[in-house]
Amino acid sequence: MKKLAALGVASAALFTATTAQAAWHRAYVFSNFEPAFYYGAKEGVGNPGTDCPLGSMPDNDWKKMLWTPWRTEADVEKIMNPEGPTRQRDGGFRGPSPDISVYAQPWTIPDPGVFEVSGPHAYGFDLDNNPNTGFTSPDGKVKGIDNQYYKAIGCFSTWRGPTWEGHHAKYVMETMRDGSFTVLMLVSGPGNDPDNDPNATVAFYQSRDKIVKDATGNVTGDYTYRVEPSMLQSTVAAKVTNGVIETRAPSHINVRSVDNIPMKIEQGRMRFETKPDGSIHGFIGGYRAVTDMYQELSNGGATYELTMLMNTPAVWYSLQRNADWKPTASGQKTYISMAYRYDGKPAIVAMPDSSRQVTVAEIITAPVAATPAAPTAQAPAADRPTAQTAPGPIALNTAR
Amino acid sequence: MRSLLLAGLSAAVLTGAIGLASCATSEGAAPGANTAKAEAVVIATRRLNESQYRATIADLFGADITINARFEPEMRSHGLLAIGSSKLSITTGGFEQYYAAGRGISEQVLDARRRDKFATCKPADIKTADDACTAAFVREYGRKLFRRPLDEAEVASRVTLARSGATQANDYYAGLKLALTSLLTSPDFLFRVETAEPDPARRRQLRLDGYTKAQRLSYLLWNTAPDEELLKAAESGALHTQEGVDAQVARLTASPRLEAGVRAFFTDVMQLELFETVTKDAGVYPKYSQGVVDSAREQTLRTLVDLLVAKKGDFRDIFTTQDTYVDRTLAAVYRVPFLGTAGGTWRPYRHPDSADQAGILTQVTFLSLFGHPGRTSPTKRGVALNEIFLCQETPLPPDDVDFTILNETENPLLKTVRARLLAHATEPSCAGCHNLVDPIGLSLERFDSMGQPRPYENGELIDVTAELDGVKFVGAKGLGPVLRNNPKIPACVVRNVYAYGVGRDPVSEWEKAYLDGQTKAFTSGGHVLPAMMARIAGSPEFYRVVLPSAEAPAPKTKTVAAKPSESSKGKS
Repeated sequence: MKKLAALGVASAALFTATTAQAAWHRAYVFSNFEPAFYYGAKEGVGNPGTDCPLGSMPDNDWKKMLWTPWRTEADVEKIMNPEGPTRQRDGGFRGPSPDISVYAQPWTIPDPGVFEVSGPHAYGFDLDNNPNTGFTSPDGKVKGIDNQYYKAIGCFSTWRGPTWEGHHAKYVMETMRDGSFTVLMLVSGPGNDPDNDPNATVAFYQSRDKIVKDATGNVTGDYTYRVEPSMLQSTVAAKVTNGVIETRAPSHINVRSVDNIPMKIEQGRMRFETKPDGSIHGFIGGYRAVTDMYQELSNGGATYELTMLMNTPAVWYSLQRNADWKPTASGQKTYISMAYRYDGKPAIVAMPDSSRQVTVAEIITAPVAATPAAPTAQAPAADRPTAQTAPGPIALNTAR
Repeated sequence: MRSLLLAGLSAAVLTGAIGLASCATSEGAAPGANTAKAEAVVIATRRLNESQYRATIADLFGADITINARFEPEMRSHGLLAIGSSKLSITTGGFEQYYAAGRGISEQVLDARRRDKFATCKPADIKTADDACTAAFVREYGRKLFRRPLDEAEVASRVTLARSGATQANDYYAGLKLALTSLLTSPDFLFRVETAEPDPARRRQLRLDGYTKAQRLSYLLWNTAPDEELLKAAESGALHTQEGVDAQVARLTASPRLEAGVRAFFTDVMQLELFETVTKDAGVYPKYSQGVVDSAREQTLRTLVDLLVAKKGDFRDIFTTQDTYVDRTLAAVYRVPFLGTAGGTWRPYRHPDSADQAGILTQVTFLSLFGHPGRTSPTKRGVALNEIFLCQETPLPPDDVDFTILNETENPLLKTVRARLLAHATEPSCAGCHNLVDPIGLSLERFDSMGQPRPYENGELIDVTAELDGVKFVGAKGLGPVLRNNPKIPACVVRNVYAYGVGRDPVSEWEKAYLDGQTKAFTSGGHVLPAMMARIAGSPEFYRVVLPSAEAPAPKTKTVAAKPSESSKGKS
């Protein structure tokens, strides 16, 4: 509260946005996003399809998972008892000794295994500029799409289903639409035509103003959102061609992800199409650190395993196996190719103190004294141990 | 005990209301004025509306008193709910609501936390009745609730009721709550009883009594019951002098509470109660929500109060002003930024010159109230504007009108509402009225049925050219100045203020002449609304006795003191 008050008294003059000018701008609030996975079945949300010929991964067999040499059958029954559920607390303690959480040290148990995606199609970008490696877009137009993240975990049922229809999109992402976080995208450029400008810039911001839904449950457009300068933001050089917004070159992109873990994308690309109603649909992709990806997926601990029906150590092994960028000296890749799918509604972006509209895609900074600390004290990825260098416990956000 | 009280009160209210409403005689003549005992004549009973009820309770007992009740619907007559209120009674179902509300208020006012503040007379024994304390309480709050002093019979009936209740419950305050509930469910509270009395200065003529004058003043200017100073002015006879009236008018119009009066006036005139029933198709207008409704109502009232009361601006500017207020919700509807570092949820906003919006006719309130659930209605908008701001009523359409073309919103040949409406209005039987009202509405077509700007309809640029009284104009920006310069506009608002205050349609010749004079004064004074309201409230005509119409039954007289609760006298 104190930090917020400090921020509130900061005058417009204190914000150090540059004085750059843009001839045009368009702004959006993301109304939906999910990992850009391709669903290869013709119907349903979990049927066998070209992506996963065996169907989705079966539900977790908790009795089998919880059995360890140090746990009795009675202990397992107690944990499984729905009258006194302790799986959320104890579910991760299934390693070689009682004090080891397999979420923090997944390598301490054998790989439980996953169904990896085996189909030919995927969404995303040809990150390595090699059309001979990777997937093909569903429409066949783009070859060499690199989306190993999809290959690694795309057969877990939570991510399967038609666009926006899978469990992850409908329920997990609903937290964003219900107001837990807000991501903004501002596009501006010096040209005369917002639909065709080779020198555009895209900025990604966050806001503390909640997303608003309409009478049909969809996100409403045209609301004003104030930039929260203390939260993750980034700018990307872009171009607009016939209304399609794309990165000009591989870029570093920072966007808010689920659970407030920064989505720091290397070699990032984006591509958004503008729809007649002014909304946008598109993708952001690139390489993300495997450690970040795993943390995002393991942060929920047993809750994720229970509600999203994934097996966390299996996810860790699969991510390690499918990582495809930035190898260590030992050859283990530390980044994995991925892409996210987004929908955005027209919005208006305002300075943090509402003093004026933000019309230029640029970093908005606040004075140091008034800047609240980052909401999560997340150690930089480079400071965290990796499986290759130091297989110590992975720092988990235990606040969940 | 509850059912007994309810039955007694119900009978009293229903018979009282009917009795009060049924007296009539010719204008100004005093029936029985020559009798030795001066008798009062009830000339009108005007049911309190919800906002007046709530404001009165808040004034007397504090804004923290919760009122949980569903108020009965009101009735609009001659353009105003204020006129319709004179024709309303209370249904048995409605009375149950009033009873529940009254009981809830009594429970709160006399609970352990608040009773010392309101019941200052302390009983000798809290477990037994105390007639003296009860009588003091009933006199004090009865006078404030009935807006006049109670007579002894009225006090005595409540004392008896309280005594009975206290004895049964072994609790003085339980009895006192019954007495307060009785006051709150009395027709003398639920209805503004307007009473005339023989005028001592004019033989065989009537004048409004002082308390009725106080009510008219207070409800017109503050939308609540007379305060202590006004009641004292009534009691002293000061309101029978021009100086006394002028002093009170000056005091009331100088008060910040004038805003409440102006808000209530426009809530009535602009038919904002329709928000309770207007619906929009969520598939067509997904942004429309209760939040939008609440914000729209507040925006319109804020705009009017700011322009007319705070700035004392020209009334006619309500059709052209670019200044308004928005909150985050409305800013999204208008697709404008919600900016500004001052203020809370509402910020001043000035529509740019390039925008189509200007004036209250381009706000969500007017545009959404007068439209269909799934499409606009230039006709409805035109009819409403004629009725609200020009005081011109439009005849109802024939029963056998064919609306097929109008509802074909995806007609490939008739892409716009304008095109469909023009095709529909070619019917000779329809053309007359449509030619009168449609031009106004057609000029507002670049706003959809919930007030969002929309230059195009089905891909076609909407034609908003129109003509009114021979004057051609384009769009909402053109309509505003046309209305602003229309002489019917000031005349209509003067008529509405007067009719709102007196609660009847001014149709007599002297009233027409009076309103003409008021309109001239309004115009020469720069169309300043509070000044006009003060002139009307201060004029003798505002208090002139006009007895109910001749179609009413033969005149009856009744003493000032109604006896609503006497039926419960002596009962437990």
